[in-house]
Amino acid sequence: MGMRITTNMMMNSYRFDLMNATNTLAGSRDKVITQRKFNSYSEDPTTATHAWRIRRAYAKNESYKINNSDTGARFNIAWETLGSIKTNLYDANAKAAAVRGLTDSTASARQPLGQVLSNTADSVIQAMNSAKYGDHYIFSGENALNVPFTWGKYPDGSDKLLYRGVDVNAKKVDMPDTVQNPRPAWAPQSANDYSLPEPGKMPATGKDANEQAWIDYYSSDWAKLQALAHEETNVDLGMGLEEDPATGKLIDGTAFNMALPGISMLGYGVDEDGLPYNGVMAMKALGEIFDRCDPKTGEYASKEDEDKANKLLDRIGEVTDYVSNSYSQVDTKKTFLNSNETRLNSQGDYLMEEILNLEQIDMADAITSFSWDYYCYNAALKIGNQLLSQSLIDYMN
Amino acid sequence: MAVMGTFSSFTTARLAIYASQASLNVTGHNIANINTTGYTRQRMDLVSLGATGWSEYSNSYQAKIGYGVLSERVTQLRDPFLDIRYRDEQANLGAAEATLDGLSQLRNILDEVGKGEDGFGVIEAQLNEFFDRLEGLKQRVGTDEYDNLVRSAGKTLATYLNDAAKEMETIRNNQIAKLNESVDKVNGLLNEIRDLNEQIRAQSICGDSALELRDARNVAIDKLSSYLPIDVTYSMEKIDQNTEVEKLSISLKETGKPPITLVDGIYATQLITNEKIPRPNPAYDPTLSSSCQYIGRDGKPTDIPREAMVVKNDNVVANKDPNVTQTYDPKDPTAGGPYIMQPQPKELPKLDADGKPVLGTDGKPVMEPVPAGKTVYTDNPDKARVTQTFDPANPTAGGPYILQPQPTGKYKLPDGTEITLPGVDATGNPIVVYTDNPNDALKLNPDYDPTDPAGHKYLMIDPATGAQTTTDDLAAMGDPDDPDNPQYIDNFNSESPEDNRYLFQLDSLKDRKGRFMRDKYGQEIKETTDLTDRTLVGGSLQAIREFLTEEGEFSSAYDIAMDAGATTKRGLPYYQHVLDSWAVEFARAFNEANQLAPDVVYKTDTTKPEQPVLSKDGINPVLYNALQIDGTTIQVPVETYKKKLDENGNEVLDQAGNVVYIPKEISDYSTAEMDALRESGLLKPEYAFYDGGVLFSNRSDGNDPTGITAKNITVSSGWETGAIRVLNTRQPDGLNEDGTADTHNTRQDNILHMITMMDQKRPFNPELSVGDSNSAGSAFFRGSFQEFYTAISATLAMDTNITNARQVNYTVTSLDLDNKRSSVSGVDLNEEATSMMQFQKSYSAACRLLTTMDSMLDKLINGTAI
Repeated sequence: MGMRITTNMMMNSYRFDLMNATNTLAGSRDKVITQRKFNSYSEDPTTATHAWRIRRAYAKNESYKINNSDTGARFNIAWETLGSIKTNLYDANAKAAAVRGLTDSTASARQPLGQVLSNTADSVIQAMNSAKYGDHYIFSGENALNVPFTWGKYPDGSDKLLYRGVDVNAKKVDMPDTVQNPRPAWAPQSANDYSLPEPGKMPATGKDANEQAWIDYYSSDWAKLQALAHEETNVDLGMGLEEDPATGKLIDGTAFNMALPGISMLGYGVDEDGLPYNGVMAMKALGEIFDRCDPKTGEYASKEDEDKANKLLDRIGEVTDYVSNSYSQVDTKKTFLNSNETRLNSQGDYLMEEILNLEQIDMADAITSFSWDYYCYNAALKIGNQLLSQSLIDYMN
Repeated sequence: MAVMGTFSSFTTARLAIYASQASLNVTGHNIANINTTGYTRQRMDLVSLGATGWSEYSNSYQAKIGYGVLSERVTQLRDPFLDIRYRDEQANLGAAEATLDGLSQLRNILDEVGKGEDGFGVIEAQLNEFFDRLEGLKQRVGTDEYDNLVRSAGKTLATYLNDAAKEMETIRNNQIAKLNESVDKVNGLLNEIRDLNEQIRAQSICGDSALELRDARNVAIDKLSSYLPIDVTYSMEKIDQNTEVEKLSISLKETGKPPITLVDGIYATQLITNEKIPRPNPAYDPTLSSSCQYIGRDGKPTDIPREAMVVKNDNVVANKDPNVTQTYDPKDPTAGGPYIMQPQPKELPKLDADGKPVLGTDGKPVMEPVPAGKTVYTDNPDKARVTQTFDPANPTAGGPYILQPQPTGKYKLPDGTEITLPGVDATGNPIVVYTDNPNDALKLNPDYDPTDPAGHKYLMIDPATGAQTTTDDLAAMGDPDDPDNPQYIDNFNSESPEDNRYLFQLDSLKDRKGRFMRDKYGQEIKETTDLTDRTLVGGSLQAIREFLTEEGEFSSAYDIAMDAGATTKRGLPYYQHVLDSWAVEFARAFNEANQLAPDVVYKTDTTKPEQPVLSKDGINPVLYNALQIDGTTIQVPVETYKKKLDENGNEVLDQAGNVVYIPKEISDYSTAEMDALRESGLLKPEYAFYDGGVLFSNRSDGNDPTGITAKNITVSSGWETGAIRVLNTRQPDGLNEDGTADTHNTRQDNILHMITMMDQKRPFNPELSVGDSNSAGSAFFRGSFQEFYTAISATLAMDTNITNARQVNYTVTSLDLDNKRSSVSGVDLNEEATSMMQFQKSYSAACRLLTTMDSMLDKLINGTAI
């Protein structure tokens, strides 16, 4: 005789199987309602772990898009500003060129042109100072809460342009020869590092002539302008932002430098003749020369003025090209930001698609499974109703 | 021809009717109890009644006829082997279910799948939010508004961590309540089984099978098996010469020989949950003989004083005097003999020439004094026994017990007097020191090694040096009620739930009236038994305990010594430590990134920083850097230098013998010192922008970064009030010629650094949250903050999966075994219906037989030879 099958055995087994069917049905229902393949980590740990990684990447991508948008807005403003400056300079250049070499009565236009040039210079600075994004002055570099350019006066009463408190007409000072005179320990060690030594680190006087040479260099306005012109402001646009664990410094190429130091847009320094490389100061200087011209004849006040004026005219042409070059660089970066935005948008779409592939259920499949599980559950109920109620006693007289 | 009585057939029919009726009753009993939990189907055992033996008139034709049927007894149909297998499975199932219950509660807190907006989780999403706010601040450095946004994101994150930690504490409290409830249930079941044993025993003595009581007992044992892994054994207990009854014993599985007994017949133990227990010795091995202090009555070493041999005083005073004959002469007891009478009599009976006592007029023997200097001997050792009376002033005179071990040389009496013990007494017998305390007379194991740690139950730790020793002596462990006693550990202490070990003790076996069980020597067994991870393996009780105590990778060396598998078991403490580690490292990283060393940002006198500067009173040198403001020295009560120490913690001296001082690190400054410096406002000009400080603190009204846990992490009061901001740069401003700062007020290198920190892979070491982890220095996870948080959920998910799979397996196996048991013991309606029909028919047939016999005899008696 085989194994006895008792009533309670059947009941126990039936209860267990019915509960399994109910659990399966509940699981299917949850999937249909939540539209997720898994509703807890333990249901599919591997997929869940992968999904979280993708979600984190998606969240970061959204952040990069905001950064990109912000930076793009800044560059748009900068681009617009530089565009108008470039136009003003072209215009001024053209006008100045028009009076170049004139000796006839039309040369009398020089003097009023001087005023125009001076006003143009002022308007360029105003444009640079008015370029703001929120509270930040776009062309102020790392001192964005303060205006980039201010006006001062030289002892002779002429206008002095200051970029963050430093005279833009700083005379060039050559860096000491690093072969003959190695950098002191307190100085930045890299040739590409234009930053100044930390305050307090550089001694007031050098212990020898070599160290003094470095002190003199870093104390000069030229070195300060170099540092200001090469300031970097990095932003994370999804290029793999990473620090060197040994030095803590940012690894090149992993962030976007959005710095727009105004001084690097307009130029700085003076040549051996003392003529400014800065376009605004060049226009100012030329404006002062034209202002001294005879108002009726337009004759120069001196031969010196004439020579200087001719050189300044050439200089304004160079500066115009310089500014145009700066404008192109900004334009290039703006284009990069636009393409980066497109890339980030595509990446975001891809990541979201990946998330949905990992987590989202196929509704047709889910509903079919639910229907089948519901059918099985009903079948289990029917069996219970029919099977358990019969025994021999029911058929006895 | 069979020899049968005329009316014998009536007896046959009657017996048949009885048998059928009894069997029907049993069938009816089975049907009635078909739904009774634990009911075992019963069967009436019928035996044929036949005449045996020789009879004077027996039939030589071998035509003996039986006399009917007897209902011998009612038996149960049960397979004990299936019971064993079922109960083993129940222990596994109970453990898996208890563990799964705990993990499910944890899942509600830590599993963020599908939670939060768009399924980005709660804490995960908040981490993203924190990251976004930092990015936003980086784009708009110098605006407090965006700093406030970062702060609110940080505060929300801290709040979520606090909530998670508090919910874990709620889980702990729930599980403790469940454990206590389970202990109560187990104790109730043990008592129930004991009482049922007593009732079954009483009925068995009277000859009753007590089947229903046995069923009730089996139900109780089945329930007990889910709490504890048990072995059930049956033995026979002799009541008297002719009577033996079955005795049921329950012991803990795999606890050695002899096993730890829970129930032994009418005696049962109870689980004890002491608030504090002596620290168990992880090396304790009770099977080592070198650790047993006594010699037992069976001659083997034992730890149990109760079983040790008490050396009684059976000494007799022998005649050791070589000048006195060993031959005893009754006519002259003073002449000699093998033994010296104890005590020495003062008088002896007068003897006549024949050696018989001389009687006086009153009929009593005439006594005469013993001559002075004479010793009375005897040949009866019973008369020469050393007195049983103990005198503390003269411990060598006698006593009920012989002191163990026997002292030699100097011996201190109870009153403090020191005496010197001679080797032998005046009679030449060796000096013996007696005692009246049986505990002082326990024979010791000569191989006993008190320094062997493997044999001692408890671990003692010297709080000063940390040195460890072991002992069995509870008195040596000190006062258990002293809350600062390091030898006692928290066990079920309601005031420190996170430190409790939740180890159980078993009380001594007692009967229903509280009387102790006695050993084979008749002595009460009063010892309690400590249960450890080695003796309690399995069952829901141990599973709940492990959930409350196991720390996984955070286990200390002591934990691992107590349980070799401790590092692979992860309970609630593991997840609490992991969350705490996350909070500690997150706070530490951001606090460190948001601060610069005080000697960098605050004005210091750098001329001779290493030399102490006298204070105003010139008496007490205070080491500090004088802070200069406008040429005026201001004394700030903050030391910015510390003594340099070598690797052994000793001060380093320079060549002149002076102590060397070095600048303190940020972590060397107390919270009060940092607050004082900030409030002093004495920043260097190039650091005039500096508003860094502690971002995350251990309380909302302070700036204390120490002792941070997931439960208490919060934004610091400085950040909350705006005194502290997210530090945008670590670089100083430039200095203009006039000494003013060339500000870089929108430099954001430090914020960028904080943003990169979010993705940096860093080690998470156990010592972040647990000071005594055995794995200190070895990272249990390397990754970014978010990866670590996800890993917590992943670990929980894997543990849940494994436990769930085990639970399903055990459930199926348990169901299968229960079905097999039901197959043997369960009532089947079809079968009972068949039995009903069968016995009904046999009843009818027996009645018909009776009727037939009646008519036959009626014919014989009334219708024959009329």
